[in-house]
Amino acid sequence: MNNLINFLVRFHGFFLFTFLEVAAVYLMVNYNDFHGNVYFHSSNVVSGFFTKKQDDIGDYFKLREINDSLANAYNEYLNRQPNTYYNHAIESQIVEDTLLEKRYNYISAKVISNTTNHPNNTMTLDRGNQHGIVADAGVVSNGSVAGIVLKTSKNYSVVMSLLHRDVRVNAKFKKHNYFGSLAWKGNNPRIMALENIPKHARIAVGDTIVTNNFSDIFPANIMIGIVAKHELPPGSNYHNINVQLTTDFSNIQYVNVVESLMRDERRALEESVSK
Amino acid sequence: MNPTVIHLIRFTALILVQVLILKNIELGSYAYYFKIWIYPLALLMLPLRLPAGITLTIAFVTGVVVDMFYDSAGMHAGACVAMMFFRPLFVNILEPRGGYDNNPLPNRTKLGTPWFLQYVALCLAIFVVVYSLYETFLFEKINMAFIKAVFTYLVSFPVILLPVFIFNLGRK
Repeated sequence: MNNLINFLVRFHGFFLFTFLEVAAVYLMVNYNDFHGNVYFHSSNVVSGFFTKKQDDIGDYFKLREINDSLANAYNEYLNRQPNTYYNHAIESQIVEDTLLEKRYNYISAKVISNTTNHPNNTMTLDRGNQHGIVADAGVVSNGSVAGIVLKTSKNYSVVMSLLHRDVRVNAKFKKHNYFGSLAWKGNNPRIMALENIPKHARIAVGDTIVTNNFSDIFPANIMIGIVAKHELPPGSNYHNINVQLTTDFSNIQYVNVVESLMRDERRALEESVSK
Repeated sequence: MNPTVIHLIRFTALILVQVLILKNIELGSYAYYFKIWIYPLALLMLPLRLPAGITLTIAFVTGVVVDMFYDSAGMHAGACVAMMFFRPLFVNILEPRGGYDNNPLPNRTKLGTPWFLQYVALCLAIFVVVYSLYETFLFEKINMAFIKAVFTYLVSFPVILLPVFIFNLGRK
């Protein structure tokens, strides 16, 4: 207490000076129109600045909500695409529209874990079998192929991304339908190899590779990538083709899982024949 | 005569000269660039070792009185308080080799005319700069504030010395 009083007495000049200057400014702001206006204006500028900043920060925290709603909207859009329907109509029937039956259904999911630097890369999604995801379902991201579901639990599922040595995707050339099998050789995360394209197929750098309509994992004509390099080794019957993937696995955030509604029927039929 | 009475007379006279004569000098458009100040001299003639509490209060009251006439609430008060707050610093800087005696006055005979001129020059600089800043009051126009301060200083410094030499203030 003594120290405090000593302190105040010792520096009373400074405190009095501060107090009197504040009093002078108070007088100026209150009794001179010009100074009052300047003060009013500046305090509005300052408070406006902070209000704006507060608003910006609020917007930032709403981004997650906005993102989720966009992902849902995109999923809804995908579900209206023609390639998610199975066409019951046969040639002789004229009225086709009323006979469309759903063949593929998309389920939106968020990637919650992802690797790109292992020999066998997997992603984990925050949707599981209670949302309709089953093993062996296709996964697309932004309209291009991303992987195949490996295993599901109630709420989560593990997807082998295209960067997995066991992945084989049935792919074809969009322009002339020559088809082959797409596999990852394990080095570059943006390049895959397309095998079994016969040597008489005419191919060029930049050709588009899409999914084949033979598969029941993906709907037909989903984008995979473009031809980056091709060569015909001497004595071989097949091209060596490098495909540049459209999907960038290093920044993948949201995916859509393909639910194939007619798979069981088709597989049962095919198994009964192969027995 | 009692020194307090002398100080009171000096304050009254200088403030009257300020608000009755100098305020009414017609400067036309030049009035924007400079003002003429004489009454800070009354504050500067106070004893040099007066406690800060007393000098600052006197300065504030003097400033408010001038503000009433100039219709500029607070600007003179703030400038006077700032000048008197920094005055002890200048007094210490200008301290002669032998030091001051007890309760020193700004005495030209004892301390010399050069000492007195430096003392007035430094204190008046604080006064005009603080006054110009308060008058301008906008950070964007701070250059204009300093230009005004320089012109005001150049005009006020000779004017403030006139009574000193005419009436031989600060000599005993």
